[in-house]
Amino acid sequence: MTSGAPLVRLDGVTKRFGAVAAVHDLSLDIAAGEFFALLGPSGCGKTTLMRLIAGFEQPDAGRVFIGNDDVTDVPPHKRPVNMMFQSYALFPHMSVEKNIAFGLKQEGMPRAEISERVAEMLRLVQLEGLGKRRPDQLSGGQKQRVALARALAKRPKLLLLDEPLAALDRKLREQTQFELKEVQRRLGTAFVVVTHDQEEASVMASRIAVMRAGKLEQIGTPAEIYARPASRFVAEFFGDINILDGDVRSERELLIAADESTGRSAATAVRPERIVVESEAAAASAGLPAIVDDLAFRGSDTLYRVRLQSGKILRVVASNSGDRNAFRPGDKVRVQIPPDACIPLSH
Amino acid sequence: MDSRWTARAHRDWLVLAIPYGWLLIFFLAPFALVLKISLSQSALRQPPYEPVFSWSDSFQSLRGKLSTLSLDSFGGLLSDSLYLESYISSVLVAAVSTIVTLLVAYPFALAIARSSPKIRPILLGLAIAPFWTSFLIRVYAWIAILKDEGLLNHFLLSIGVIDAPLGIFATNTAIVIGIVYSYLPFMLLPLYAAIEGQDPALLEAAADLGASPWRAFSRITLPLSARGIVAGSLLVFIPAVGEFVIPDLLGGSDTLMIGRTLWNDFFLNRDWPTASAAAIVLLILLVGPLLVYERVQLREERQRA
Amino acid sequence: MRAGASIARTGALAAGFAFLYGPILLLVIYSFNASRLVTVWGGVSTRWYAALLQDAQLIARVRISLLVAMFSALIATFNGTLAAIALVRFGRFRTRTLFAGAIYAPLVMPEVILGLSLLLLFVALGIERGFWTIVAAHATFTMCFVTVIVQSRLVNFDRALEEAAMDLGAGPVRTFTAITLPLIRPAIVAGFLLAFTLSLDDLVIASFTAGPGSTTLPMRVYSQVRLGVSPEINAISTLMLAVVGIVLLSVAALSRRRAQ
Repeated sequence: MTSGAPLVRLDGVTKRFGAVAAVHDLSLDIAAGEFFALLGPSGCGKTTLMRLIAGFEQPDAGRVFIGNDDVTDVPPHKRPVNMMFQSYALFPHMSVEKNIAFGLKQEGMPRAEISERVAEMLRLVQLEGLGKRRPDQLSGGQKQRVALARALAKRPKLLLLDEPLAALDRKLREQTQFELKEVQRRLGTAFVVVTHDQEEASVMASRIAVMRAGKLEQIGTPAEIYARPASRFVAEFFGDINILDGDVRSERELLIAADESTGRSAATAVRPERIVVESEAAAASAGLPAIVDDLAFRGSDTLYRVRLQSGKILRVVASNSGDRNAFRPGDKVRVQIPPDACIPLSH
Repeated sequence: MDSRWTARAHRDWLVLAIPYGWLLIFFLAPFALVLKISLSQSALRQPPYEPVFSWSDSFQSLRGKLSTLSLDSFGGLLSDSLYLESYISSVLVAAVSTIVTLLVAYPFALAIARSSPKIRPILLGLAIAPFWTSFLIRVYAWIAILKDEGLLNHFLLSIGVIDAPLGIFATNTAIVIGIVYSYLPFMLLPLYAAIEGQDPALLEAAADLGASPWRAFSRITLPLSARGIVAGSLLVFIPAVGEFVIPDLLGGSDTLMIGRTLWNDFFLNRDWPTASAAAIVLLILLVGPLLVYERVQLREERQRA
Repeated sequence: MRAGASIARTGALAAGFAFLYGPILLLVIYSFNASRLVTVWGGVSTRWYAALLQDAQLIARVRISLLVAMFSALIATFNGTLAAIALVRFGRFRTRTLFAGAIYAPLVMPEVILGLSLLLLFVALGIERGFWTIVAAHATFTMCFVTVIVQSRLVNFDRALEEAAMDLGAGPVRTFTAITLPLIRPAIVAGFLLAFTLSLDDLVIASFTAGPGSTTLPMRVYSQVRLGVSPEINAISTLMLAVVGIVLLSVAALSRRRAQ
């Protein structure tokens, strides 16, 4: 997956604001050309981490490396990193073209070259013809593309994206997710996305770092994290989950029915779509008895809240493929968990 | 860490040092001087006071000088009923003026804030525009209106409402009118900002819950505009206490205001120590409101930061 | 209910504007009064304006006032802008409270105190009172107004714009000149205009700090006003109003056009 020297290396980085450590002794490698995501709830330190890489914050401890250079003391305007801001931060007194050209002017690029590069960028983000407009004459989606073009104009080795999809509605969000992937693939620039949305991170990034309270909880591909969350926090944050604590009787029965060996862990996690639910009649007394408490029809699937005899509620997702009969609240059902669906959690 | 911060620190230092230095020289140091001179003796020379301290003083002679410090000027102030009355009168007139200004400005500010957003800036601009014209001239205009042979009396006499001139001119009432007229923008702007900044949805919620318009105003709009009322009142009261031009032009021989008394002492009687002492006492009088004002400003600032 | 509220609103507005503009309108009208007396209308005449134009001393005063205003406003705008930057961007520093206090105090301090203290300063330092002492005095008390205006603009300034500029390679100075300054320019201009107007208009501080050869227009008007109402003053007033009106209107028109 990652070969050769990392593009960005954070070594034991700590950043405090007052008494609180926003980032605590954190070490991380990001490879050249990869699409990486910093994922976590608000306050977990992901934004601080991004700003440490960009140079807007200085670490209280630890070093930051970009390429082979120690950039810990280098100010942001001298780092080969560019950022796409959450609020876009387009210069209101400049046209789209001037905005995109700004970084190139700082480099001292000759005017003819600048024009060429600006035109290229406008084509890349599909905004040809809008060069002379001002930011207040653009829609939200267009502003974002300008922000992207401006950040990529200098062909940085690394692009930081701060919650890029937060302001967009669902349809636009999906479209933009794929467009960002496409741009990244085409340019080969390393992208680092900061987001609180697990779906966003999974769709776009090839590697994700899940953060919590200033520390890294887990790094891996989306599939890895989803299938084998390292902790209870990651299991709950990353996708929908059921957590079974070992000592409730009916849950233990559930586990025994599944596989004895997994009962050893302190807790077990099961993804809702892996739980098999059948009507009382069809199950023929295999699995645990339960009653459907409530349901949420979600279009392509349905989320059921199913109550076991112990009172514990399981979240079960069943796809609506047409041949199944949908359950209704009050229906008696039976639930089963396949052994390979159990994820042991150590903490 | 170092090279980056040194350049920046030098730059920042300069940005601060220039205005700070200017204020030190032209604002803070003069105050120390006023204090020094208020402690010296009046004399028939140019400048008209005996300097107690001078640059060539050594430290020993300083102690000797301290014993010759004269509080004569301050003593003179306290025993002079003219000054005492001036202070009291100034505070009273300023207080009344502040209240009247508030009563005049509030409906005005409310009306502008409730107008359609398009014309609000125009109305506000029109309300502030007179402020850009000469203060002196606007006060002067009131002389022509208020004096016994002036326009107001002429008009009221001619339509038979009164038999004799109202005699407003050269009274405290004229001074109050002058202050209200001149200081209106200082009350209007903070009030307007405080009212306009309120979420219109608040009043809709109040109406939805059954409050009459008056209730909604008195229970919601008014209390929420308290900050504007305080700011505006301080901006009017504090300078009004020491006003000179308005009492001088619109007041008479029996209207006493400290700004005028101080001026006369300084320019007519050439009694610099007494005038300085009067200035110090005026400052002391205003310390209370000044501290409140500074607290309000600094709190606003810290909130925004 | 709504109609009642809007009638009340219109009434309040009408009363307010009548109060504000009434005296001014009267001034203007009577400056064209052929008769000296306020109570007697002697027909329309421009003789008072003609008399003004012949008054060389008056024109000298106007010139001095304009020069004082220009210089002091320039100094005040420079100092005031720097002070605003320091207050907004520098966070906590030692003696910040003193600094902030020294900025806000002149806004409300009675002018007699400001004038008296500055005069004593000049005397103590042995500086002759003259043109530049008024400039220094005016620059001091108007600088605070500039600071307040620029500060409120700076506080609402989106820091992300500066970070974006730095991210794209502009150093701190470059960022300031290319991004910050253009965007706060309206506030700086407003501050300058305010400082200019306040200086032009000031009587008390000028009286304390002016030298024998440098009396300003307000000082001249004041000494004449003490002698009583006179149409010449009405004429001066109307002219000054006209100048200010033209300046304000053109500023408004310019900013309207730029917004489009």
